[in-house]
Amino acid sequence: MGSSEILNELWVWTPYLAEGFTMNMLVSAASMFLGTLIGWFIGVMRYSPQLWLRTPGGLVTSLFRNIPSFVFMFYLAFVLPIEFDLGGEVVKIPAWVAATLALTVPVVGFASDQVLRLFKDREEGAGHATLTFGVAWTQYFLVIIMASSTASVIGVDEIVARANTVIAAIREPEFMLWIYFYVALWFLGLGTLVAQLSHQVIKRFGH
Amino acid sequence: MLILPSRFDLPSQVSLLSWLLLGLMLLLFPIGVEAADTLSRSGLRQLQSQLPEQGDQPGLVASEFESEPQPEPESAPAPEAGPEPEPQAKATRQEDIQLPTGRLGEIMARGHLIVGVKTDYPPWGGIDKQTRKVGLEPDLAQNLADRLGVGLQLVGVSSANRLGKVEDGSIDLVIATMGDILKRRKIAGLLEPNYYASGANILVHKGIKVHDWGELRGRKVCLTDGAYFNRDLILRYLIHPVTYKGSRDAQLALEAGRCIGWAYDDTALARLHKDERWRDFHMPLQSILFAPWSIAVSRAEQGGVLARFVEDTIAEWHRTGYLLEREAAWGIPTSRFLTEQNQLFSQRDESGQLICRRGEDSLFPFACRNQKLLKEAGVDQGVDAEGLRGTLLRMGIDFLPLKDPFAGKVLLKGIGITILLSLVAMAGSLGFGLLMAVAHSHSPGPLRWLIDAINGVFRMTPPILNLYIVFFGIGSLVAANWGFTFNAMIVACVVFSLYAGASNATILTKAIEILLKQRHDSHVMQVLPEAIQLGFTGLVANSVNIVKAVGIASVIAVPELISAANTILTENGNTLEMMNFLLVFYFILVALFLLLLNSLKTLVAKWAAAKS
Repeated sequence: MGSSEILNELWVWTPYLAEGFTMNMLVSAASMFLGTLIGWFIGVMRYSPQLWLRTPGGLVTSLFRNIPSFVFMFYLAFVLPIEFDLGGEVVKIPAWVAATLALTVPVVGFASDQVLRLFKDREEGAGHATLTFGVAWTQYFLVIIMASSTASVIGVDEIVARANTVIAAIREPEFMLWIYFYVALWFLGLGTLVAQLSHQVIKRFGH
Repeated sequence: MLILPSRFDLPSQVSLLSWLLLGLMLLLFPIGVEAADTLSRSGLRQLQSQLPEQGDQPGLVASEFESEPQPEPESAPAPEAGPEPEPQAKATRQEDIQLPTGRLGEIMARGHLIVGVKTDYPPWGGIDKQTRKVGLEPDLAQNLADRLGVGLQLVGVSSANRLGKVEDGSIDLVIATMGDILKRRKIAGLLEPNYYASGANILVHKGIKVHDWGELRGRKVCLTDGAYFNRDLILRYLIHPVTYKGSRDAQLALEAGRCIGWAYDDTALARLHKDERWRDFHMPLQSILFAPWSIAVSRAEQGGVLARFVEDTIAEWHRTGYLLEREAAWGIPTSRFLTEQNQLFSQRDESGQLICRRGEDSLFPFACRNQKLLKEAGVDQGVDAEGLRGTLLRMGIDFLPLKDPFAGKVLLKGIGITILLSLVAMAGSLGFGLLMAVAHSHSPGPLRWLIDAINGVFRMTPPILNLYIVFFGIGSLVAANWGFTFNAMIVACVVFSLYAGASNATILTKAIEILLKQRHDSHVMQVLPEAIQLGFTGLVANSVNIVKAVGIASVIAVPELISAANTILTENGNTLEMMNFLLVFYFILVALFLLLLNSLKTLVAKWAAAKS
């Protein structure tokens, strides 16, 4: 396989891999949304002056922080039913649902902490509290997108799973490394983009 | 208060150089390498090979029976038929078969045992050139007849008529490659323990080298519709299934190259494999997903004297290694099932008694029975136990790895590897972080950029991808060029060390920068302890993240906890139990590590104070 052949192959498979990457983004976005929503409530509880609200809020947060999402993904993949009966109609639960729910767990812990910090910063009148929250949130989104690649293990059709499918289809051993590197570039590219964006935002509004 | 960057901060200057670096890495690897055939090796296989082989113990067996007198309620004179059998059989006879009523009485009266065997399934049950019925199963029938001191009559049966024949009384026993399934247990007297088990195996072209079922992920595998293991193969090994209606079609598809292999019943494949037509194919993997076989009596005879005699004999066959010996004699590769049963049935408890012996309810303990099936049938195993298991039992928790020594071993090894991997990667990541941070502060501008870029690459690529890159990608190139195979454990240690280490490096670099700014005259090494103290929270978070992430190493067949739980649940069907354990265990493990690492805080503070 010459380098032009390799480049050509990578080009041919790009739309297929891009589709897989959309899955990573979708699963991550859904997790971030759900996790932030739940984390917000817990953060509010922890900010409350009432002890009976603060204590459970803190406990729940540490619970969410201590459960590894990868293990929980496995858990859900095995424990959630593959399909269920909804009024005579069989509804299938796709694997990405398990992945989304699993990735929601660390987001809840993260969001709870950040929301608490946001409220405290505001209370103390610290500058750019919302900006700090926004930047941290965006960067955590990136972490979750990276973690979403583990969903390939439970059969979610995302970019790493698709890279493995391509490798199996082409069956050229030397191509394997190239396709993996190519997928790594996708993650690096997104990371770079997000880093640049946060940098620009901080530059513009942070001073 | 100083707010240090968390591991998720992304320094922007990283970006450009990260790309350049990756490009450089790509150029470094040679193009045009021979087929790579060294992929992952199964740690599970290592586990299996560690199981000791047990030889014959005839002396033990005889005394075992004497130590467990089994009173018989009915009384009739013991039959004295035929020549004196071997000693252990004699013991069996005296204890068990004093009073043959029912079917056993009939057998004794007629002077021969009638057993239904297969004639179309050599070497388990076939026909030799003199049209005698021969094979592993006829051997077992002969052994039973010898023990009873009667003659033997073998009757050919088929899968369709074997249960009908035993029910209508035209044969006494069925020993005919019959799987032990719930449906059959309802219509005939299936006996326990199981005497044999088939499993799933795969026939692949000799050109394709696979060492582990995990390597079949995403590859096309031909299946035959209706096989019990298809679902597990698809779900657990993520194969790309190509399902055919019958085995003839699957065989044609395999020959035509429509799939890389045909996964089917291992006993059927073993027979097929001997055929000239399949000489270019091989079976490189261990059988998995066992389906135990049962000997059956008629339903009315279940729990009777004949059933009891056959069951005790099967237990003895397992214990003495007789089945393994017969299997070898018929040229069948040693099955893991028999090896495991052999070990299980010769294990003894603290008092020196066999673990697999009949309890007060005259049943064998749960661990010595077909657990998957009993679970399906909802049979509860009321066993009393001491120690941790007893405590848990009283709490209403009956955890399978505590009673099944094999599952227990696999699980313990998994826990050990998870902790070891975590510790090594923590040390590695701290080392890498310190190295990069110190190098950063010593370097001139351009080199700093390079160091940042390296950190950026490791931080912004998913560890699962890096495991694939190093283990499969680089690993296969190295194997093809230098014949050297990467160890999965070491690869995992390196990948997690670099992943968390890059984040540690970012934290430490910032901390050193801040401290050096404060003290212009200080040297890097002088402020290092303080830098660690300053970045302590972040370093702990990164270390705990390693514990949470090591499970990902299961994708390159490191037999850590998740792999172990997976193995146990596929073989025993206790999915919920294992998954709950996994979750609770991980929760405790993470909490413990947090506690331990945070307790180091005062130590680090003291060290930093002493240094500055």
